[in-house]
Amino acid sequence: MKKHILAVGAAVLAFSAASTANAATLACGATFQHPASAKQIKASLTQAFVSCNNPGGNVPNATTQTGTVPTCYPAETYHENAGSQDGGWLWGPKGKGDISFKAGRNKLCGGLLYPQNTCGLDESDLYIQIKMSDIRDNTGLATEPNVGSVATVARATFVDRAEQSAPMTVIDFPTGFGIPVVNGKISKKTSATEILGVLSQPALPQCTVLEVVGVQVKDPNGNTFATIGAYLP
Amino acid sequence: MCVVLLGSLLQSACSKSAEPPPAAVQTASPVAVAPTPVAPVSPTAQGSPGAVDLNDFSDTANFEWDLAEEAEDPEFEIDAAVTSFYMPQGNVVTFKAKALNGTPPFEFDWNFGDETPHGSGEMVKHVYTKIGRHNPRVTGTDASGATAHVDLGLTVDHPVKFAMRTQKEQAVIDDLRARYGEPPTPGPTP
Repeated sequence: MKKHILAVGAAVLAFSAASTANAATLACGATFQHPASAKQIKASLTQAFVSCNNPGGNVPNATTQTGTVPTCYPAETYHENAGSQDGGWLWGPKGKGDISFKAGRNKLCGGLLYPQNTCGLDESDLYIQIKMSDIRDNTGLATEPNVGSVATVARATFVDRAEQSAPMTVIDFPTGFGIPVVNGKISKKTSATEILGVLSQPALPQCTVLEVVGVQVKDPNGNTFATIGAYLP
Repeated sequence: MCVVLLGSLLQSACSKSAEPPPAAVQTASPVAVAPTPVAPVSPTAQGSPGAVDLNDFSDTANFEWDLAEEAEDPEFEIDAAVTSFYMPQGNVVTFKAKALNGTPPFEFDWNFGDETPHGSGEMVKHVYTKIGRHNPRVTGTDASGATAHVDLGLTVDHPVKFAMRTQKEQAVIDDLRARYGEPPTPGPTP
């Protein structure tokens, strides 16, 4: 029971904490497959469209120029699919965005009651940063009080603190955080430890491998606006 | 918030206390906190007034700030970081901002997101007395009047819950439980 409890507790977001300096001094309780270093993901964000021929997606009604590949025509954003509600986000002419996940350390301090017990205890953490610009809605540049969100799904594998004999893979775990927009700009930083804290879960152990299963940026209406990808000019 | 998947250990930590915390950690002006009533704290709550100097940044001299080196766009851009994104109530946290381009001199306004007075300067310290999720924001302004901002999402937690989640020693947890009027740590889960 305890194994499963702690597994879920550490399920949200981590990166290859084995690459942090602190990890070098602390041996994992068991060995498992992981790269020697994988410190960061940084990816561009692009428009998210309703998929075609997938569960929950649109039904194919056309083909590409070869006449052999099914398509859904015309393409549809989630905002459009939801009826183009007011407050939905759109890209301005200079619109762009990126999101990064970076392995790091969290300076966990115990506060005023136990300052001597705490500040030296760094734990694995994952810094998450999203930056977007020229985000618009039906009124022009999107701005507060409208708040979007980042929704992620992560798959974590690590040696649990309570079970050192073998690594465990946690169930794919969804989580997220709010992203205020100010005059069309979003710039938000947070960390996996913060998200875990909100969920009443402990920080991730060292030697954690994270697989990013999905990342979605949602507009204030909850419609998926952007996802990791590229735009080919 | 506390109805989670952890066992009886954490459930006990999340249980509300009917007893007030000891006077040693109380301030003259109690602060309303949510979701769990806990002891209000202040920078001088250790019993040694002046022990925490909010203008002394020497403790972060060797801290590895997660700050960008350069701007990605020609528009004025700043970056910012914090010493911890997750902390117990009453912790002293340090913020740092940096202009990545623009025309000096730069000014930085810090809204800590907890309805306390704003701070200013490239580096600031703050003590969060309200438990919950906060969204502090630094807004930078350069000499031309251009502005840029960074939001930092952080969480302030109950000291007992923080200690448990960060694997503090059992003696520390037990002492915190006593301070906050919570029952002793239960025995091992079968």
